[in-house]
Amino acid sequence: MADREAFDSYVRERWDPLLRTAALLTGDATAAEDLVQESLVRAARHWHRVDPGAVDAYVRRVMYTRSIDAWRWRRHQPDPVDPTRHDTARDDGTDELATRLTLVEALSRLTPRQRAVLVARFYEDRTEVDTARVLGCSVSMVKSQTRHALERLRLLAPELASTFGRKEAPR
Amino acid sequence: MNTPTGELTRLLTGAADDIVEHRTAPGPDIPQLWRRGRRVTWAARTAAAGILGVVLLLVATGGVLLSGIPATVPSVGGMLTYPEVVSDLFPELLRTGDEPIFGLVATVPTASESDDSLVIERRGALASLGTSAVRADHIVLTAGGTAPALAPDGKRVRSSEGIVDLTDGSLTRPNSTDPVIQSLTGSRSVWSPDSQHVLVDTANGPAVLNVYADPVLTPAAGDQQVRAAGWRDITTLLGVRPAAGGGLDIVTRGLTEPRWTTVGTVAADAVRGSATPSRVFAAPDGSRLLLVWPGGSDPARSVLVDARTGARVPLAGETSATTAVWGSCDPVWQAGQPLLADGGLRRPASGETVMAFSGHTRHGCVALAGNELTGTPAPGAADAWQERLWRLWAAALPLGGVLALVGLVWMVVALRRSRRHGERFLPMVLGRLF
Repeated sequence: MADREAFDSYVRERWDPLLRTAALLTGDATAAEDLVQESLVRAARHWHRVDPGAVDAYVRRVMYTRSIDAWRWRRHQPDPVDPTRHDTARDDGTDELATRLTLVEALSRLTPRQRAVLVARFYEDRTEVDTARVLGCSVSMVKSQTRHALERLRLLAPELASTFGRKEAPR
Repeated sequence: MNTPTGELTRLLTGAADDIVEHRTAPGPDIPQLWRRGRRVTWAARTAAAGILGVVLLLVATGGVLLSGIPATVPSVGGMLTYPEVVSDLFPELLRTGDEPIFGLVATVPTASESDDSLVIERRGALASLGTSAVRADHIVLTAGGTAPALAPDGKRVRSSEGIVDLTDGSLTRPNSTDPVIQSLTGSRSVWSPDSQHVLVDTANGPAVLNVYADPVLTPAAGDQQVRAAGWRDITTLLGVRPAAGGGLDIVTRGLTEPRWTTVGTVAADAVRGSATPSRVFAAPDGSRLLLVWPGGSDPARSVLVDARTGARVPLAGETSATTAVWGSCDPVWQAGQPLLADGGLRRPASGETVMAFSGHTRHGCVALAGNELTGTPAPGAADAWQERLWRLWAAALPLGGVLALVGLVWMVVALRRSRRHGERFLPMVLGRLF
């Protein structure tokens, strides 16, 4: 019963942050909800084994792993070249909106692993070591994936090249 | 001023808000999430228990099948079977010590192969006996053209070379190196029921050796007339000698006694006044004697008598018109009746085959452990094949387990690879298991 209450409390508290991360990983609100729900179901499965102080790390790791789990997840992913799927985005009539749309479009064209690395590094502001731990890969893999992801973003969205045009310093 | 990566973080945060804030679905159904998780847990546990149950069932089934293989130890008792047909097409190699020997059959020497004997297995196959898995290490068992005498426990054999321990192939005191033993070497040997002594019928009379080939009993004066038949019990010899008033005296001698004692007489009319038989064979339990005269000397070439009373006992299926012709082989006994043992086992009167060899190879004498055929007949070659299939099953069970393990590892590796590369290596049904 205590497990159940702890789970309820965790989901109520962390649903929104998890959903935002999942949104960047999937590029779609519905797919993001599916991803978070699958991760939470998995967490519920092993709740009695998860360290209470590391529940969030566990769920995020599941979420990242699942987002990279390409052949399973692919069918849930929106068509990356569908030009209408972000037309519901907030239209504030500024260049900022156009920039974000371009970024999301470019993100959707990256590989799942590259996308996960970028989200972990620059959205969740994790270090390379922490990102490697969450994604279950080596630090060198994180470095190379980050470099390749940024290079590809520069190609996909040259207008944003100034945003990620310089090599970021390792942390 | 923002750094480029700081700017990227800001843009990503805004993009996440853009996507999430326009969703229309309600919040999470937390109880349902919890139930789904627990359901998966129980499904996984149930599946694991089911797989474990199936594995245990398979192991138990294999165990039951294996335990159903008839034992090959002659002394085990009533569960034994013996083959009616022995496959002799592909003799296998049997390692010494693997199991007590059920029987031996002499091979007919050819220009390329010398005198030897093959092991008859209860499951209906022939094998050559070796000290290792290498065919070159096989033990040659000869007995002057007949099958060597096999002890009732199936662990020793008296061959022309001496006493061979079949559990390790060792030869106890070879005949050729010991003059005393050489003088006791006879043409015929009979093991005591406890497999501890062997009776040797020599030219000077019967002698007895123990399992180390040491003489335990040597012929006494006048023993030349005694024809040793076998054993009445584990310490008493049984034989015949000519009676003073015609007929034959049935005589016994304990291993510690100095002379033979008459315990019965076979009347002259029972043996039709014939001279002393050329060969005499005792049943393994010492209850009956088979007296055999050389062919042509008398119309009745063999007589079966009770070893206690001397009364004649008819052979199974014997009529006044039948004549049992005995070859050079010692008979094998079954339920108190002697069987012809030349190239198989046959009933002497009716000619009914009790044990035959399936191939076209000619075989010599058959010698069974204790010269006795026990158990019930296995119907035809099917039973021999059934026993072979059981052995195959025993070998296939661990092999199947290894294959299943390899398959499982392969599936896990393939699945991980498929996840990594986004390719579908496994069918969906299999993939969902993981």
